[in-house]
Amino acid sequence: MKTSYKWLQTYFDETLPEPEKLADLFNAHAFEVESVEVRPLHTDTVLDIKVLPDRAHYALSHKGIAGEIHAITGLPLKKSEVSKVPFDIKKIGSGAILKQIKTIPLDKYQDFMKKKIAPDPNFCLRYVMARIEGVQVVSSPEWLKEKLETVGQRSINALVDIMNYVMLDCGQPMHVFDADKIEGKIQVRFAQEGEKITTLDNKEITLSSADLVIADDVSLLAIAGVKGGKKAEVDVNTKNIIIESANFTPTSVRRTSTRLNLRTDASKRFENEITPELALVGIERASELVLKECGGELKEIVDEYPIKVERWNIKVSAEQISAIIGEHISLHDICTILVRLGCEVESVEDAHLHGEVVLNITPPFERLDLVIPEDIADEVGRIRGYENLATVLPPAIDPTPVDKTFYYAEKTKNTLINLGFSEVMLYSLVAKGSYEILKPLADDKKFLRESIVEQMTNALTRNAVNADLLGLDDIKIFEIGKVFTKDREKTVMTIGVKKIKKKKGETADTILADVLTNLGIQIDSKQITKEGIVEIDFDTHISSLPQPKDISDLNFIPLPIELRYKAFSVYPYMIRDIAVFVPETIQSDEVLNLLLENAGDLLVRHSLFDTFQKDDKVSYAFRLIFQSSERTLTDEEINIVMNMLTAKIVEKSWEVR
Amino acid sequence: MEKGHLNPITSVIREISTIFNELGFSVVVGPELEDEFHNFDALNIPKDHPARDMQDTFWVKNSKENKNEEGENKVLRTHTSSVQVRFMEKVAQLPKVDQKPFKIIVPGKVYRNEATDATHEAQFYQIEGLYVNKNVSMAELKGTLDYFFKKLLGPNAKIRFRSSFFGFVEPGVEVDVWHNGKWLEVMGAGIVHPNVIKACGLDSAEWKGFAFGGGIDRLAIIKYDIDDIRHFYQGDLRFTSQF
Repeated sequence: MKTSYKWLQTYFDETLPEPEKLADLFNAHAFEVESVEVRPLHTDTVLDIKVLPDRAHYALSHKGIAGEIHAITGLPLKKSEVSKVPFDIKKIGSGAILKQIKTIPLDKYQDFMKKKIAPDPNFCLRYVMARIEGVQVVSSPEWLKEKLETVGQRSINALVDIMNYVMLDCGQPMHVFDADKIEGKIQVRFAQEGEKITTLDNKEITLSSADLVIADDVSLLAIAGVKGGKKAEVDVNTKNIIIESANFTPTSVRRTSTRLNLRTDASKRFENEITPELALVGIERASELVLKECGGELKEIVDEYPIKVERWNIKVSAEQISAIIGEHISLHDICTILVRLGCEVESVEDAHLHGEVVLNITPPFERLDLVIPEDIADEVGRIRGYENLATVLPPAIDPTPVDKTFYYAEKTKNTLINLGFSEVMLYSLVAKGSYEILKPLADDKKFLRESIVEQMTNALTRNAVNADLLGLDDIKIFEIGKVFTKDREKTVMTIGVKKIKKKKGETADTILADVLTNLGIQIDSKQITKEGIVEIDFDTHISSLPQPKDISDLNFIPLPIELRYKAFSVYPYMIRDIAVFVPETIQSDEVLNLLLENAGDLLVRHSLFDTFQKDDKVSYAFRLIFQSSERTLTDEEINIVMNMLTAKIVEKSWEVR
Repeated sequence: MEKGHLNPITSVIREISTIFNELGFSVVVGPELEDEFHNFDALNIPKDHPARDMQDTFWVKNSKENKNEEGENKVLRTHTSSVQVRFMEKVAQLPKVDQKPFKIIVPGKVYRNEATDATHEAQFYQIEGLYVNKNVSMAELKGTLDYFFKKLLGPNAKIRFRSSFFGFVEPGVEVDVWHNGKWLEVMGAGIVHPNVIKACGLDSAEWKGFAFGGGIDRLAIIKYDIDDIRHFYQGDLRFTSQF
């Protein structure tokens, strides 16, 4: 939520910590601050706060966030809840509106509202309306425009802006209708299948019978909790208005906003659930501001609230909280934190808990997230902060036996690595299989793999191209991983070999046969594919092996701590062979050093692949691999390098064969 | 003969397992194709939580072969936390006297339905840890993770907890580690929510736990300066042979 620093300041007499400091405090104790942005001309700073679902009941509002500042820093909040509204509340009479609600007789509601407005308390918990007559639709005063623009909202007119302002301030979504455009009485009901509404942004939307709407006797006025309709939109000629402050349930609003793919500031708040108690706070603030900025006279307030919510309490002892946090926390510290969070706390002695002092905590209405003792421990823990929390290791206990598949998979990997095989981990999502993904990322990732053979075939081919670059005689790879066949999810071991360098009597099949013998696995040679791949059911393979105790005999050797990955070049490489005739007293290293000194940065790999002696001379044949990390090399530039090498060799009175 | 190379994911899993083995944690694993109960319900993730949406989760089409007894769709697990549930369920089935405290870690492959780029993959690896006993505290969680990261990244690594929210823990924190001069977000952690303990069939008044979980790919990326998460799954030896 975009939060204005200046707006937050209106909740405090004392100066708040600097925005950056405030962001640090939020990060540690409450929410992640995604950005801190200074407004042009330094008029304000906007903190973009990521409010997670548990705190969205109260913290999608400046009031809620100001409350967090109070709890974290202890800075006192201004006494009067309403005094921060930047006009003289006394002239209008604080509390006057609340008083009216109580005194308006029920039958008066009939004037503009059906008596039973909420079809079902599972969908609409409360519906409050205020009717104000004789308003003037003016543009917003500067302070209001500035506040809205700071947090990224466009100013429209004072009426609409006030509704937005109240929502951003206290968290209650508000809506305003032009009362004269309403035909008959207002009601909250489900839409008829296929019923249409044109929204404020001129989009025609077709609704279903699961969508809750606000309607008059003739047609639809709004999609409940999601978006207002065009029909009763306020305009410059609006004289009489009805302000709506309602509470729609998360289920209802989420269903509709998800189906219509329509997420609004209002729907976001309802989806996360807010207390119906807030509806009255909203209507009061909005009415006061309308009377102040647009004039008019408050005629009626209607409050349809079939089942009033009650406050609830949580019983927890200081010992319980301390046990969860892992450090002794005094009763005084716990109470201080809870009271700052707006909870009412009383301590009682609980006979059931051996006379331990138990706190009876009544959270404020909006704190729907505080329900169980662990929630209280969370509040105490985070407000207190974890920075100085002790670090303690849990006690030693009897170990659980290691998972058998994990153990034997790792043991097998050790053997395979020793035999020169490298491990691959290929994708589980492929083009064919028995299990189809409902919303796949791509057509070739539509199914869960039934086997690794096909992917392994491709991996062998792709790697074969780089055999020289990698200095490999053969491509030897394996994966031990899950596949998903019709009957079950199982672990397979898939091993692949592609011969690169010919060697007498050796084929992919003979290499694989050797490996399997090493692993104690017998197979029919037909199980090896023509591409040189064998796939073993690993679950069956280990089924008769004993349950291991732990991993200590697997001798896991960590990679060197200083190891860092170096990006490999995506450009093709070039191979050049060079054979050098030297006197027999010259070692191969001396020749190699000469080559390395003169070959330049493009030489990425070299190997001595042949040596033979003739009379008093020796021939050393080297394979040189050239590659650039920036471009494709040309024959010409490598020829220049090779000519240079030849020249250096000749200089030494050696000979290039 | 020249040795082959392990995928760095495996190397990191081995290192993690070794460090946690020193603290008495054993490796446990579970299925990748899960049911909704183990992946979401039992973990106190509400029915209509956005995480269950198509956008985040790979749901597998309900057909005769793959539907469970209730006929529900299956899901590719979105986290290794589902194995927490499976393990606790097993403990809960034991006679009360045989129900003992335990420490487990769960390395494994998980899936998210998201477009891939250098920092996102549709499949990746997670490590999950769970310690259950009669009394379990945030201080013990901090001690355990502090020990772990100092061993994994070197003695200068330090951790911090930031208040956060995950349905299956309460209190819940985000764990950052100080590495190479900056704080990196590496894990989510907290005290196991009593609803999770209950959903697994254990008595939540008797048993408490702490749990933590994070991406292994990310740890490997941090440790070895790897520039693209997709390297792990390409089967390209130009990558693997460096490890």
